[in-house]
Amino acid sequence: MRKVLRSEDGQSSLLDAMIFFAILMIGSLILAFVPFPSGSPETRGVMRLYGESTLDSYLHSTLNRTSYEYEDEMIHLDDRKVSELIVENLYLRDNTDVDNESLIEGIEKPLNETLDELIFPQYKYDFTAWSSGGANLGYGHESEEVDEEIISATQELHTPDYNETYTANLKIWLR
Amino acid sequence: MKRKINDRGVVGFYEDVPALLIVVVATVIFLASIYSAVNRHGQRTEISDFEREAVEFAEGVRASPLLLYEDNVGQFDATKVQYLDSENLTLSFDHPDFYYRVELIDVSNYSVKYNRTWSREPDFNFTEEHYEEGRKVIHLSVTIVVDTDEIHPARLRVEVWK
Repeated sequence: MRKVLRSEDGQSSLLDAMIFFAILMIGSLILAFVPFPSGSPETRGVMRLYGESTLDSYLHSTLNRTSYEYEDEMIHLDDRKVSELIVENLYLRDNTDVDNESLIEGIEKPLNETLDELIFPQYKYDFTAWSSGGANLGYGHESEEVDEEIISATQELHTPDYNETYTANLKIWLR
Repeated sequence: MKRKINDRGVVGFYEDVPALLIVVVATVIFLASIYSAVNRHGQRTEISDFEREAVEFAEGVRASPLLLYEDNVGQFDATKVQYLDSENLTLSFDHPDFYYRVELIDVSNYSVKYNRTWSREPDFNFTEEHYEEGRKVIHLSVTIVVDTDEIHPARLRVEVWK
């Protein structure tokens, strides 16, 4: 066995300790800032469910009174489903010369008001519907740069004879 | 002073003590940060479990046979909405171990509205300060079917807390 030497000229164990300290401090810093997800998968799942359930409920609900003017005659559409009104609106825009102002005031305004009431005030939304013929309908908040994630839900709508397909899309995001 | 570098170690009391102190301090700090990280992770998991429970409850309300119109999830029967009471709703969920408040807000443009609130709350006067283990609010949308020609859109707000 080697004899232990004692001397004033010792090797620097202090330097080893400093290196050890530095390594552990780096480890501690990493642990202190390790990211834990702020929004759980459930939160995102709930947002998606909300977007989908809102579009579905909106399209399947009815409005008690809507109307538009055509050839100086008032056409009343009572208790019609929102999906039917959207299809009718886009069909009229594509295929007839019905005054757009009449459609905006008589159909699109009540449609917009209903969706605005349905969506909780914590959210902003952007609803659009369009036909293959190029007509489109849109209301809600202007799309803008948002930090929050946007949830999008889409459904296809058809004319009663299934000859034409229309698409409805709802985007929601937190205010 | 010239340094001597060789492979023959020496023991020096006045150098080992500060070195040992540095090692002990570094180890304590590192262990504390591990404890803190584990603790935060535990809290996050606990919140996540509660959130899952709340979401399941909200989805359960949206699909409750006590409210559904012809078993269509998300479509409530107006008559069932009118006559269902909080006790029966609580019973249908087998007395959950949390408190809740379910608000149905009819937003249709019909004159008759089907607004309802069902709840299971503590007996005492409840305030915001009584939320102990967190609170979760879930927003959903449903329809209330009066008949096939009259379907009201409605907001469903489900608030759950322990």
